[in-house]
Amino acid sequence: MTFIQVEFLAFLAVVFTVYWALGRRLWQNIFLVVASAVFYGWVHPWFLILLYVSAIVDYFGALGMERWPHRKGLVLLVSIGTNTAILGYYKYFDFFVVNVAAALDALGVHNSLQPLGILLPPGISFYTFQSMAYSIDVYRGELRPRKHVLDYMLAVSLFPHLVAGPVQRASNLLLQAETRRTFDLAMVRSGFALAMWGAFKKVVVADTVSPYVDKIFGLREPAAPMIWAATLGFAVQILADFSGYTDVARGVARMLGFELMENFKNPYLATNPSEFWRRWHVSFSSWIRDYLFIPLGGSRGGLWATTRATFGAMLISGLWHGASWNFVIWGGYHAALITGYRLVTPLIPASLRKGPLGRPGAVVIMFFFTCLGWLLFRETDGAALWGHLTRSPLGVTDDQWVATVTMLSITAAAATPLVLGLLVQRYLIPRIEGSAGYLPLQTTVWAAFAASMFFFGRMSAMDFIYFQF
Amino acid sequence: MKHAGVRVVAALAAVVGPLLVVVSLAAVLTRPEDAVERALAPAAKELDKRIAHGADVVLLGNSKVGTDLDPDTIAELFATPARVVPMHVKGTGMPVWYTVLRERVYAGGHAPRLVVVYATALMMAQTSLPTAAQRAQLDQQVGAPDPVLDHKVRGEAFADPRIQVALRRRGAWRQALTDGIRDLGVGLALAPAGEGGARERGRAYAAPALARVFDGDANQRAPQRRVVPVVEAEVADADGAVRLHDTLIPDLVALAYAHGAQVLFVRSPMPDGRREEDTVPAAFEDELIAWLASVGAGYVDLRDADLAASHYGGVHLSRAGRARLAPQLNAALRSVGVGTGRLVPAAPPARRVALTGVRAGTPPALPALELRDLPPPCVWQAPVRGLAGLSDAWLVEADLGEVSPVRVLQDGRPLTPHARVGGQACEGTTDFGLGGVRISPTDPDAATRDTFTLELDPAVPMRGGTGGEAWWVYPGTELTVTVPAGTVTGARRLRVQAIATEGGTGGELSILGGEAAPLRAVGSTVEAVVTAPATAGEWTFTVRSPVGGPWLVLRRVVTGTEAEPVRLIGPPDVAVTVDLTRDATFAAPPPGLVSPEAAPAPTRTADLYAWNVAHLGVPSLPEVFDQAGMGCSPLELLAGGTPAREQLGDDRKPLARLLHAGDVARISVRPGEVPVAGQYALRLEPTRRCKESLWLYPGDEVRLQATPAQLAALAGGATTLELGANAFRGTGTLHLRLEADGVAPIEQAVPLSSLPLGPIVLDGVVGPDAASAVLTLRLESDDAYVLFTSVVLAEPVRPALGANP
Repeated sequence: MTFIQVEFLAFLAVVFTVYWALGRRLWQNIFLVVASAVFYGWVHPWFLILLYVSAIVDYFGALGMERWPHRKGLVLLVSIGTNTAILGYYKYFDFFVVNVAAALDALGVHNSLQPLGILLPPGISFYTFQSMAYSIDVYRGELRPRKHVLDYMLAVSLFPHLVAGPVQRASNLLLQAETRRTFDLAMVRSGFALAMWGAFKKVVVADTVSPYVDKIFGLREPAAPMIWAATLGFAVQILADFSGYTDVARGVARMLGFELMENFKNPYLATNPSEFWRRWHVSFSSWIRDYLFIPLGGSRGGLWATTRATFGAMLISGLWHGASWNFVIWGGYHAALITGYRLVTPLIPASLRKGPLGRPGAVVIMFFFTCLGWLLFRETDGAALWGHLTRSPLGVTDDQWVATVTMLSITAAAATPLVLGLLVQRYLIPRIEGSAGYLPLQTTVWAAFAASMFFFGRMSAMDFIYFQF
Repeated sequence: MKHAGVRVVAALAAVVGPLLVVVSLAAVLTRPEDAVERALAPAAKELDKRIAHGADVVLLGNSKVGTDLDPDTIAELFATPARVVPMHVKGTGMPVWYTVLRERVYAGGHAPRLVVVYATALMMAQTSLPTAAQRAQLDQQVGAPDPVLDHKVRGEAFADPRIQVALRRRGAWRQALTDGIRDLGVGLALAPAGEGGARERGRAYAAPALARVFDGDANQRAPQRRVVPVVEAEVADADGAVRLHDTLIPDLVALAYAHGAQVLFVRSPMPDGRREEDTVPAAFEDELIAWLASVGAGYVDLRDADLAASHYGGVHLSRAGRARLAPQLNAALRSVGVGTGRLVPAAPPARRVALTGVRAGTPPALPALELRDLPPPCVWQAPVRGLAGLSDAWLVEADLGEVSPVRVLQDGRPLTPHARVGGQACEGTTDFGLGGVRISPTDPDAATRDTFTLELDPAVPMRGGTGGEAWWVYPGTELTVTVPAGTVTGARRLRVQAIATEGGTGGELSILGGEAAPLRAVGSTVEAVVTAPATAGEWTFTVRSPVGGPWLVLRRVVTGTEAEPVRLIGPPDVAVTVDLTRDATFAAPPPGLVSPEAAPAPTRTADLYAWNVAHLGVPSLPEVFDQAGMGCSPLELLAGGTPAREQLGDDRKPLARLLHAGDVARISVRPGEVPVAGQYALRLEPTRRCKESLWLYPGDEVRLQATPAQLAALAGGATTLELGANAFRGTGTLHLRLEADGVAPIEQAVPLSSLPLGPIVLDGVVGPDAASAVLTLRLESDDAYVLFTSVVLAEPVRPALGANP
């Protein structure tokens, strides 16, 4: 089940009603664990086994670390090993097999290695990382292991954040699971508004621009301006898609009294690579920082040590996003950006950096580099990627310019609501929030969002096949 | 009090506001559609008309039924005359076909013996209605509510027809909105100045430009997986494994069985470059075949039919393609028991064997290019002497498709081969025709600045212009092909058939651990057959061409045993045929002008056409049109005494388009124009050609001749003559006489009612060494017209693993 299906609306309505009607925390927690199991197991019930295996191993592992502190290193190893084994098998096994087979072929060693076509369980990258974070926090002494398995299971499997994040820290969700939650209309309204905005971004913005992007990337040799226009479109698409999903997750969680961490903070307004990762997928990048970058040495050592830690963390970060070399290259690219920024920044005159055009210029330059990274992210075919990067911008036909302008027009139209939303949230809402007219305006906007989602929603995958550019 | 009042008003507004939005939108979206919105071809009436006289066999599907299948040929399968009625609807899928069977066939009181669904597997499995047109088509066919459609197609929540109207309308509005954004952007930025606003100019400019960019098989890569990896929820849900019982296939079968009919599913062929459009999971395919066999329904897979790229127009078969498919289709239908009263399970389709190949040796050097500037801007040509057999033109003519191995390099970078050359802009493309290569460099100065050379495509196998594979063996090289383990068990034969496109003679086939054999000429191909003992693992075979030898492209490679052949490369063997209609000489010119009757003033016929149409009565030619719906009329429209070519009017609607149906000829005219005022006239088309077909008018006599080169393609000689033809109006006799080297293996007179004819067994063999073969056809009739879709001499199908000739 996904957030933009009709079934989810019915599911949420039932869960919301029963949850708040139950009143007591114990019954609420039980109910949410069951509801989360229903949500996650809706399409493939056996995926629940993986989720619970991961959770149970870490639950008992944490208890084991407390009971046998002299063995806690080994226990941590078991926890991390189990989670990475689950993740490695379901997400990366076929990738591994394909690459080994290719390497053997290149060496002239005939082999019959074939990928298994393993189905990827939804959310596996998220909940395994969350579980590992719990074990690591317990190991470090930053968190006490939980005795109440119910609260723990709720923190791991709470359905709003289960399949698309944000990657929650155990400390955040565990405390909330163990705390009584009372009904607050303002909180529910705020959560509903956030969820509606997230769904709008996903259905109206992202799903409108994505067929155009796919169409251009599907060409054998798209002209250079076309591919850059499509990359710009993809930048809008992925922000709207991903931030939309997490806004729905946060909004729904808030309606149930849980606060999930903010995951996107206007990332395209970043002025440098490090700031970008403090604004983009914040929950994940902070996880990488705390559990990979810092253990690898962080920035405590010299330049070489820091660079090594940066590349190590970002390459794994890239691989986490998908089982394909282009994601690894994308991670390495961002590592190079971060490292390069560290090296280059001292060379830029302070007067330039701090002048009136300093920040806007930095935003534009960083956005350019971000889009270049999205090209690496989007294109999974190495030969095609090389072609995109090396294709001459000259000799573009008139027809190709038409396609370019079409892509740019659709991107501009799709991005307009995002920009307006940012401006409204920053400048308008604070002014009118307490006024009498705010509520009717808000509900009318919700109705407009719903109408827009009905208008733009695509009922089936075949809509994309029959789409006309 | 005041504050309380304000709060109450605000609360009311908070409810009324959104209600207004939702109710207004719902009202607008669900209002009944007017005639303009529902203006589509009146599919229901048309289908009722087709089946008005009953049907023994109904053919369900989309436009491919109309182009690919000949109902009359299928009717030949039945011992007693069978009425085969195509009940296809263009641009539709399974939901509409199921509904057509329910509403048009059975609700109309008809009881066919056999229901045939002809489509790709993807369309057979379709349950969605992705386009507004498809949804409208379904609504046109649907009568009473159908729980099957409600559940599987609409989803039970959306059974309400008002919701269907809303969904239909919003799809159209959404596309209109995004198109409007596109048109405005293009109009402001790119469209040339002219009449109309930016959006209008943008619309006229954008659509054709985008069609050129995105349409065409050469432009597209293989479909990519939708890329949203960070949101794994969608990846898992998008897995969308197709399950048989979620499709309408079981329901259609149940419906047919409930009315006493048999059911046969025929998976249609697709051109090589578009096979990916018919991709279904292997598990679904296996499930489908097994289930159909278990319930006694039939399944035939024609994806490997012997059809070349030249037989297709897009995904549809051309008339030649249809003629080519017809005997193969009938053989396949016969094999599953069609015509016998009982269908038998088909053998599971053979999976393609994954071969790998390596080329060794040094191919010949290709000649240097001498570029000449041609009149269209940015088009250059260079003759390539001595290698005409490597051109796409030659290879297409040989039914191999656009598989020329020759590439043009511009400063070492390959230009796009098998592509369009001749546009206004420099596109970096080339094509290789009989006159040499034509080049559109990447920029206007390239021809004088850069170096252009030829090279041979090193890929094994090579993928051609429409995606077809080609296994080339160049002179001085050898091609070693590896066959995976387990492909064949036990001792085996291997037959390799290749086409020598250029160069000398020679060549050899050898198999690892087995014997070697020289390639020998058999008809228009070269062949060799070798044997080898059993082997457990993978094995290889090698085809060599000596230095100075022939340029070979593997046409057909078969291994295994005669009882269980395994095709490795190429399509199954079919009877080699010689098309006699290419060279037709008529004894006399056709009769003169056909006088149209005075027509009423031009009228707008809203139900069929969007432009002004004039009706011309043609009383002397009733019912003379191609009943297969292919639009072959013997009439030619003259405007001012010269043949009128279709053109666009000021309002961009077509003018001078002729539609001849029965005793009415419709032409499109400008508003207010009276067509019968001297400037328009009709005559019988003098060449008698209609696409690949040939007319015989009353009293005509024609000589059809096969060239020695065509006859040389027959390995063993033709033993049958087939006449694919339909006679229209009137009665008469067709005299036919075939002469080959002075001998007449057949001479007879047949009544027109017996057409189509064949195969007629010849009294003797028209061999490959015959100097000539001439078929004379004389139509003895005052009013009958005959349309020949094919006139072929055919030799019998060779065994899959024939002995060395």
